[in-house]
Amino acid sequence: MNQAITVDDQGLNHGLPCSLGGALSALSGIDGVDILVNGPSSCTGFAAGMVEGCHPICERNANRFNRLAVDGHPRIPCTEITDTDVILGISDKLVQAVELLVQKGRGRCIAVVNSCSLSLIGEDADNILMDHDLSSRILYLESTGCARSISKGYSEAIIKLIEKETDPKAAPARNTVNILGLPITQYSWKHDAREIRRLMGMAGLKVNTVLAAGANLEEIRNLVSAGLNVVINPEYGIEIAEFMKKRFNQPYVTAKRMPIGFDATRGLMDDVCGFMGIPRSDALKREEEHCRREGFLALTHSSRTEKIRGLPVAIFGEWAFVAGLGSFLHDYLGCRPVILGISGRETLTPGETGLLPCRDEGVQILLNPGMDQTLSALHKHRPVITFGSAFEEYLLNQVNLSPGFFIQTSMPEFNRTNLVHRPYLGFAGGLTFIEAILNCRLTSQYPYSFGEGESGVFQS
Amino acid sequence: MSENKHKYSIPRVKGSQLSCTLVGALSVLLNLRNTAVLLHGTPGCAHYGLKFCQQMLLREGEIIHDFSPPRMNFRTTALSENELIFGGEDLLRQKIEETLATFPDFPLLVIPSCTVEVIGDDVSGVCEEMSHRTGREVVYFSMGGFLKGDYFEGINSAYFDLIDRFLKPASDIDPRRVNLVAERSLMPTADIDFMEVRRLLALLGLDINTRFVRNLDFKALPDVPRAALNLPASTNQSLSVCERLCQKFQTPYIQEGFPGGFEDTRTWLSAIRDALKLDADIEELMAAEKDFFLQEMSRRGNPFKGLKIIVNTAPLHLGWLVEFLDLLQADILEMNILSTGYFEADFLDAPGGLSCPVNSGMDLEAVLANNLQKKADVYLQCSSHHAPIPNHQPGLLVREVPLFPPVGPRGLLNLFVEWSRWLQFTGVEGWRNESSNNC
Repeated sequence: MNQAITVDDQGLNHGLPCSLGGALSALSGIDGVDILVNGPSSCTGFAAGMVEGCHPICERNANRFNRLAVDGHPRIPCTEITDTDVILGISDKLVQAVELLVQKGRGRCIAVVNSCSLSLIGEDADNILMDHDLSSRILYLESTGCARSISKGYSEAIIKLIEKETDPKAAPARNTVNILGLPITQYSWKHDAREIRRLMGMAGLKVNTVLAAGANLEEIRNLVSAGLNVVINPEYGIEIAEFMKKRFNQPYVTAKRMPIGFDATRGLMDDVCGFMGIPRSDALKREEEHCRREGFLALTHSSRTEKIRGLPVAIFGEWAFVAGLGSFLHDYLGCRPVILGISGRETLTPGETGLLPCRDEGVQILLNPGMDQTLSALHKHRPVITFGSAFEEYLLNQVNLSPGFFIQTSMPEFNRTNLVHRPYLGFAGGLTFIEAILNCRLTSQYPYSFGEGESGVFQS
Repeated sequence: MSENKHKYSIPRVKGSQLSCTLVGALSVLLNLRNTAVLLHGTPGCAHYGLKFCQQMLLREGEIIHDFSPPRMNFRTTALSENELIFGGEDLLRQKIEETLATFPDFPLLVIPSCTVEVIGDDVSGVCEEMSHRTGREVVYFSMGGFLKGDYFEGINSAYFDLIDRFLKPASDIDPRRVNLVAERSLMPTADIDFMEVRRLLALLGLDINTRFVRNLDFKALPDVPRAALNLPASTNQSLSVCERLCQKFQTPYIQEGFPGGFEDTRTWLSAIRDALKLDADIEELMAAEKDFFLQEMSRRGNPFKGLKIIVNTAPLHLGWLVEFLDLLQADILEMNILSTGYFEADFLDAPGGLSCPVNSGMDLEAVLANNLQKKADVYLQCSSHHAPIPNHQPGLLVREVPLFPPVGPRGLLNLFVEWSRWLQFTGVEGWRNESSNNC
């Protein structure tokens, strides 16, 4: 391996929110769950704002909690803890808020999520709820947002929900799978969920649920009916899959990295079909052929296609996404990843590093990249296309690369919306990225050829 | 307490704490140029804080470029579980050293979050120690997330700390220069409002000494006491800062925030004239301003003339809107005000004070049902973060009113042009017919 691995030394782990955000994003992706944050309005407002950005609901329904005596966010109320409550105790506020939610909430399940300050202070909200006989409908989560990752908060919330809601004796349904590890904080999650359902359908499989990505409580109750759990993103799904294997003896197969593009998707679908004992269907074969042909035609007919080989690209995001996209760009399109920025991780196992496209000379892997590191890497490597979030876009504008294109692939986003079905996962995901990259190249009027990204010939 | 303490401010939910001191402090301190800000707290707070600030910067970028150089001076200690158990002081020392090295010419402003308050780090002591050890300015700001109060307390506390530590009395006070104090930096219109204020002050022959602290160079802080008068940007955020400046440096200030509408502008200009004992004919000035507005309105054509309008609103001071619609010769059928059982009552204009029928204390369903019954041409809505009014019914022509009034006569003119363009479009909004059952 020739890559340099650097961990953020400026302590600006700007890429990802806390585990409170993870818990709220998990629960908000399931219809029928009302959420109450036991904490201050500030934490709630930030995390709920993020959830609303990822998974907006109709404004006509959004303010249903407005007239409760609990505040926070139009969508997710909170107990509005202040310094006085920390001294005098939160019991009254919590009980009052839960009682109001029991009375006026629409969901069948109420999830109470502690914010990190409350957890550090040691408030025993679980006991308070039990004392007031409110625990039967309540799912209580000790979120401790501060020190743990968003994926941890996500997994724990889902596991708690499964413990409470899933029926271990649900009748098995033939050729049915659950999809795990697709959080609503993943940019394009709606399209990806739809695409994965479509692919499974082509394979002759029924999807019970795409867990926490537009799911409902009925699907959670029937989780055990599926014959297999399919983990799309190991960072978010593997813990849940392990839990379900241990608790319900339910098997799982997992994508090694996110299935973006042709080979990775084929590998996952082969694993799934193989486990379920069904042959690859004609529909699935046709879909793969169609996508490969469309991509091939676009690539062979584009006058700028030759310039994709060796194209220096930077990819920022969580590990499984960077590995998935990076491999497609590197192995299929022949792009040259020069920066791989992994959010939310301070270390990688050798196995995880091995799945990154970092075999070439001069790849820089940034772990938990901060602003200085990201800026310095962009300056140094001068990628022609950067894949990432609005944070990287903002930094890219500072570097003023010419030409320097940005393709939004992760959250947060400030200035875009993503409505048309353009999935990032699956065979079609490969086409999405081929299209995006070709459009960058075709609109570029700059006399650019590759290699100059590093040499800085055109550096202003 | 000033009578108009809550004039032009966000209506507060009863018993609610709006956000936390961290956000308030960031909204002040990130405006200072040539400083570095270090948040001693968790990665989550840093993420949300940075997102919030970048949104602020992006918004600035969208609107006007002259006033918004990129500021990437925000750092965090990003506490891990280890520090939560064993304390974060060592990490703070390390990050202070690193940040000072990254910004060799900048003072460092350190803000602790609520988790740091809970684990009991001596942030003040570490800042003092590092200041002695490095010979650089490492300034502790006494925040503590939600444990030290809300957004407004964070703003006040940050301003008070800046005043107490960095401002010294000045002898060379310039009688023609004034400060703009505590502008609303998070409002996307902050710099547009500033331009109108600057224009109005020029009519009185006055110059701006400093914007305290909007885009202010840290080295220019000692210039703040050289102003002859302080002008609070708003009555809820800025008056206490003006009062502190007055206590420390005897700089007088006026009680009015930046003006919304003609009457407000008249009062505001008169207050400045009186405070500085200027020889200016405000009536003449205002007559010229109004003439210009009416001429422009007539030149462009007034599509609002004779239109029937219903206003739905959270409890806000809307005298400026009523005055504006009167100028446009529109007919306000009624004003529906959402229940004050939910909001703090003192944010509400006295119903008798408005020259239109007012229905107070309505709940949301009643407002929406009322809108469907009455036949208005246009529905204007003043919302808030806590009370969005989801008025998406088919056939309604609905326009959001700014939460705060546009500043000065030119602000109103700008609003008139924008609304006229909107109203003159004759298309329909087919999407309003969609069902929301699946949302």
